[in-house]
Amino acid sequence: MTEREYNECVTTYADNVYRFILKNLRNEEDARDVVQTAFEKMWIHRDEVDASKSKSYLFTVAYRQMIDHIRKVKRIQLKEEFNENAKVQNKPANNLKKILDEALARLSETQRTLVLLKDYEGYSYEEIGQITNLSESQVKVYLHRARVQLKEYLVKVENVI
Amino acid sequence: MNKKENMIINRHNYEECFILYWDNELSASQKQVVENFVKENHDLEEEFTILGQTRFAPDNNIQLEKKEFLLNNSFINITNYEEQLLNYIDDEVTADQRKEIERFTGQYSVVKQELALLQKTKLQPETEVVFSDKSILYRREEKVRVIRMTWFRVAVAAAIILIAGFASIRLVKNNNKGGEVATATPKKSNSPIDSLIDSPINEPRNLQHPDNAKLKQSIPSIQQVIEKKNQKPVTENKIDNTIASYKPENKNNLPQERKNVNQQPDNMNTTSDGIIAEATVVIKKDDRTVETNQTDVINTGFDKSDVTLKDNPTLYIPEQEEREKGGIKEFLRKTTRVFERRTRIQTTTDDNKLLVGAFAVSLK
Repeated sequence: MTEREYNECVTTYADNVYRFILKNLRNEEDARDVVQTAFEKMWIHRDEVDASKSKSYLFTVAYRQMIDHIRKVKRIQLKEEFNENAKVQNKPANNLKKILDEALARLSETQRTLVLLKDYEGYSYEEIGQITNLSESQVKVYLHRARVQLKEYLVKVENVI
Repeated sequence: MNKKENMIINRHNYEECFILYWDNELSASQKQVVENFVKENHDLEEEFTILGQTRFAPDNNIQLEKKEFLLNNSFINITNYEEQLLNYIDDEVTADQRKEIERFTGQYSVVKQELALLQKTKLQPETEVVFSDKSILYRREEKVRVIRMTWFRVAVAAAIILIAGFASIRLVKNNNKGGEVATATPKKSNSPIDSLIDSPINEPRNLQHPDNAKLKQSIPSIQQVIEKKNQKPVTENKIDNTIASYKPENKNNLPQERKNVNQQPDNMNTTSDGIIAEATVVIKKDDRTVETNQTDVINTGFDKSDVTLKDNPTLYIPEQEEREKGGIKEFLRKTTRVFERRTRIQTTTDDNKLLVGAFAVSLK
């Protein structure tokens, strides 16, 4: 990977990686740190990185950095232990995006990561498996479970409304 | 009830036997026993018939439509449709599979609703979330210019170094010849003592004057004269009344005051009455070897350790010559330092010899 390719990678993927990390960590400063570290690592190993796989490499490094960060800092918010009915009643019914965000926040870290990699970046199960160090079948199962959980959350909200 | 061949039927248990008969739970011989009992008892024949009419027959008009939904051999069916819908929204199906799912979904409203719900769970990237100030992520390589040393360039470099070397040697030789000329003109004085004090020490010819006898006579009183002239008496000095306490002014072109002088008065060849009989002052300029103690005592402007009194009254001070050489030496030293800093190669040997023809070729 040349200097030019690296800088193109920054231009093209910095927002995507940041979005992905921010959605997981829910802390802007931490997300910026993780993204910065990921790019730093890519710059250091630029000679070993194939430019065509730079996005995948970047997401892999960023994901691992994020996991390290979560383990180290323990700053990520714990899964909210709220009364589902109360939660639902307080939320506006017509804001699907907001409800989805809530539902996403209720997923486990792995599930959330898989959903984001699939929906935001459109990665295949195989690619997600490479990034997250999971098998393709694991990705499929976890992702399907996550999707069903999201669906059930939406159904509950709609039923209450 | 009982599966025994010899079934006993009477007016107390006939109802049970009739039910078993219609439920087809009796053997052929038992059935024959029941039928014979009905024939013998006409009043119970109606009851027997009614019980037989309570049986239901299957309604063949009721049929399950679109039975392929239940077939397990199809790509999408009752058992796997949810998984296929998830694959569909994750875009993990082929074009043919996609068409099959869409066809299947179109046939069943329940499945269609399920798909619509699942599609709602698909997140859309929030494009408004961006990494601000990407400039901190951009990088620029520090390019190192590598000059390839072809044989021609090596030859040119060698020629330049040789020419520069010869020119330097020649220059140094020329400077050595002209060293004697670069001496200060002695100041005229009225008295012989003044002429001794005021005359430059670094001019050996003054002391090689034939009137050396005058020097012998005048040296004992040098200290007194110096005190009168400079009004700076030395506070502590073991070699009082000697030339060691002499503090000349810089007007004689003597070197500047050096504080790192190693005082060694024992080495001074003084007489018992403090008179220097014959003096040859040699000043060396090796500052690095001189220790810095007792500097408050000695402020003579030259190293007393280097002062020796010999029979030869010549006052030889080579520092002036060295100072004149200093220009070239300093230039070579600076060049060497710059070269060493740039290349990180030591250009001198352990005994301080400059390696003029040293080459370093990068293998990269």
